[in-house]
Amino acid sequence: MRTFVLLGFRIRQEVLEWSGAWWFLATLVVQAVIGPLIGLFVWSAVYPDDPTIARYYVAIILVTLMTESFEQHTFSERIYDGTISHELLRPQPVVIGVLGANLAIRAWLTFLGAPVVLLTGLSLGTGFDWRSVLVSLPAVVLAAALVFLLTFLLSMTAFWTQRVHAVVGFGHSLIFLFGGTAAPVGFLPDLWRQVAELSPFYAMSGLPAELAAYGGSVWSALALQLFWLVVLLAAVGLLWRAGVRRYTAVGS
Amino acid sequence: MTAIEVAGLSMSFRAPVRKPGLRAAFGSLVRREYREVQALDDISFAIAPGEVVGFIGPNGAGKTTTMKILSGILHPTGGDVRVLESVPWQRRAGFLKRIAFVRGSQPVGGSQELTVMDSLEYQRLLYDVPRADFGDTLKVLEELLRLTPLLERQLRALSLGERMRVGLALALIYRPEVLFLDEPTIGLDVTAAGQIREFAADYVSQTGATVLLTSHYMADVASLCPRLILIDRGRVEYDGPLAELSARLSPYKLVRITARGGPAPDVGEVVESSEGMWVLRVPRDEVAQTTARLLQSLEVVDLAVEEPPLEKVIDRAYREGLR
Amino acid sequence: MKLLNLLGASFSMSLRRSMAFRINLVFDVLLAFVGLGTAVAPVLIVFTQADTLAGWSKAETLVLIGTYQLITGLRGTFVDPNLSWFPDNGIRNGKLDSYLLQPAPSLFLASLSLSSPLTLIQLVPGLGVLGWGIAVADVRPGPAGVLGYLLLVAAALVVTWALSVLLACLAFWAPKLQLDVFYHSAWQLGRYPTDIFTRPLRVVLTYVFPMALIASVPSATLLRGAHWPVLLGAVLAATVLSALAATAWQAGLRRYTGATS
Repeated sequence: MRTFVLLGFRIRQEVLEWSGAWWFLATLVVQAVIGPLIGLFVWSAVYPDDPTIARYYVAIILVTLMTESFEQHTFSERIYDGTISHELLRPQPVVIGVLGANLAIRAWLTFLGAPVVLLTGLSLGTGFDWRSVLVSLPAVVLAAALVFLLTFLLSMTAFWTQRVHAVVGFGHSLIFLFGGTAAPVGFLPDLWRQVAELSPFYAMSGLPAELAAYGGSVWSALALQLFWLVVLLAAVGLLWRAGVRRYTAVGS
Repeated sequence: MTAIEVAGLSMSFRAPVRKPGLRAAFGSLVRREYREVQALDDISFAIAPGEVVGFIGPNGAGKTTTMKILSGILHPTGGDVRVLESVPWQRRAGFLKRIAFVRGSQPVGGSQELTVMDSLEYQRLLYDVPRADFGDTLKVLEELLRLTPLLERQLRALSLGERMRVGLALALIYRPEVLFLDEPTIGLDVTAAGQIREFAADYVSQTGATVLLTSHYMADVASLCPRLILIDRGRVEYDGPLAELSARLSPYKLVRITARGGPAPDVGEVVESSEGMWVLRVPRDEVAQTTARLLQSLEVVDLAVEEPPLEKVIDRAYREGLR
Repeated sequence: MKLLNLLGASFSMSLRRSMAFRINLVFDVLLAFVGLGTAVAPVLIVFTQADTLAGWSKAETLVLIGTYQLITGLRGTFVDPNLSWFPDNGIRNGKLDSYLLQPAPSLFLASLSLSSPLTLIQLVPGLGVLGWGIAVADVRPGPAGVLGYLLLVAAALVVTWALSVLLACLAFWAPKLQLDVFYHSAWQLGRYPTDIFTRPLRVVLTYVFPMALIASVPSATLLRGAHWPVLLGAVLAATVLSALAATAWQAGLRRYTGATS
């Protein structure tokens, strides 16, 4: 309970803090949108007569906005400049600060980006079945949790290396390739498609987007996501303990 | 002949005023409010070649702004400036090769990956220093700045004091005739600051360079500069020898007496007292009278009349205003 | 001449320094391949489903990606170390002040005097993909195509430099408006043939923010032959943009040094 109060407090604080940099957030929206947007253009050029492509990519863009994670900036930089030490000394889990910043930035990105994307989509005649959209919501929430966990996990490599941006960039490339942004997973060559459909990356973006755009089996989707959630949670826990041990041993 | 000549220099700039909050942030994109700030107001002075002048004043007095104008980074709003017979802000290459501006807050710019020697080489190319001169100057600087162990180190790996030494070397390798030093000892410990001071004194006596130096530490100024220019709120408040500054700023002297037994002295203001010893603050023109009275009324063992410490005088002047 | 000497000196010094860090070298090589992999893979997926992408064959698209990578690599080596995040890195930390005091043109010092040689590694996989594209093309590029291509790549480099300078100049008027993230996002649009975009966006990318010049136009010239109007237009664009960049820089400096009022 106390954790949630602290988290709520932190989120409010971060939302206010970021309000001064709304233009910078707007450039982050563009950054989040550009990848899927290019995918949309490419696949619309390949299949000019298929309206579901546009619907799918609008869903991908929205999922991307709602799941963007920047722990390599918000968290890793604190390891590099040493301010993480203060956080370690405070009587609250460090992850609350990280999570608070994460949710605040996502809220801003969604607030700034989603209306534009939705209006553009609807004006171009992209219709959604609202039942599918509602049903996909739990999957979106789980996807958001998965992206956060993966980014946080990779950001923790900052305890060991100076090149955390490259490491996280690599992770995000995998989401781009196997998650259904570069191409809808169904378009991948057969073997790759089977690998992608079981991968955590698909669970992070393509899966909820497909649920919203096409409908489909919610339960198998949630099962896949929950599986990866457990795996990533365990990995984050292990790496966190190892990282803190290393950090306190090396000192700074 | 003068090295630096400043007449009626003024500088004002417009600073945007912004209220906090999201709505103000949006609003300020459309229409901004400005406030006129007068950074310098009719400043005049002249510095002869080879002179070493301390430039002091409280924070925000306009010291750094003046330095930036004299070195050519800023363009003033009014007044006339000649440095080595050139208008600084035209930034002619010939002029820039004859001056250096070293800031204690950011002594070395450029790529931090490079070693000190690389950076010196780069300066040689940039300033067209002939190789022979470069070698000679480097030898001198290595000696004066104890540079030898630093030459192969990367800039990013230097400590604050080392950075300042390297910053000076980078600036002096092309033998500038006029040197602007802005807070060269800021953030340094006593030893490092002492080294920098010693170096500056040596360099000046060896090369006859003209130096304008700002510092918050009176020790820097007192040990290097026979002449001081004090500015406050963009105006010159004092320009003259160091020794006369405290007389000008503080109308008091300190009388230190030690007396056997007896009551405490009843003249002047006691600023310090301990067992049988008092320090009194006495107006300058009453010093003679007061000492006479003290000698009469007390059994005086020792008596000394002192100038108040410069550090304290300046501090008081900054806090309480100069006028 | 002196400027070339300075550029050469700073480059070779940085190169010798960065060679000292083998780990970083390995990392950058890996990074370059991963980066290019994520660019090539989507295109390969596309060509499992179709023979052409908005009129571009697989070979042409590969040439385009290779070219994009070349230009991006050169930008990362010579321009980005100087101009990226200019309000913070260039102005707030005092670099610009020190450039103003140095006896060389400030625009040269501020936009080209630093370099990051390791980034050149990106050229290796870039050239690989370029070669792959040429190898699988139906036609060999003719001498006119090759010459036109080289000219256009040179023009693209000038355009790249000028755009970065113009972006940096914004800092003189709106120091808080940092558009680097936006610029990098928009840059991604150059990685695909501009023909895939809808007409209004295509017009913007050709005439306003000329990403088409970076890769699409040179690649088309290499494999489809050179056309005088295209070459002339590119040279003109490079000239105009450089002039614009130099003018904006001078105006920005006047503002920065307070010479306007």
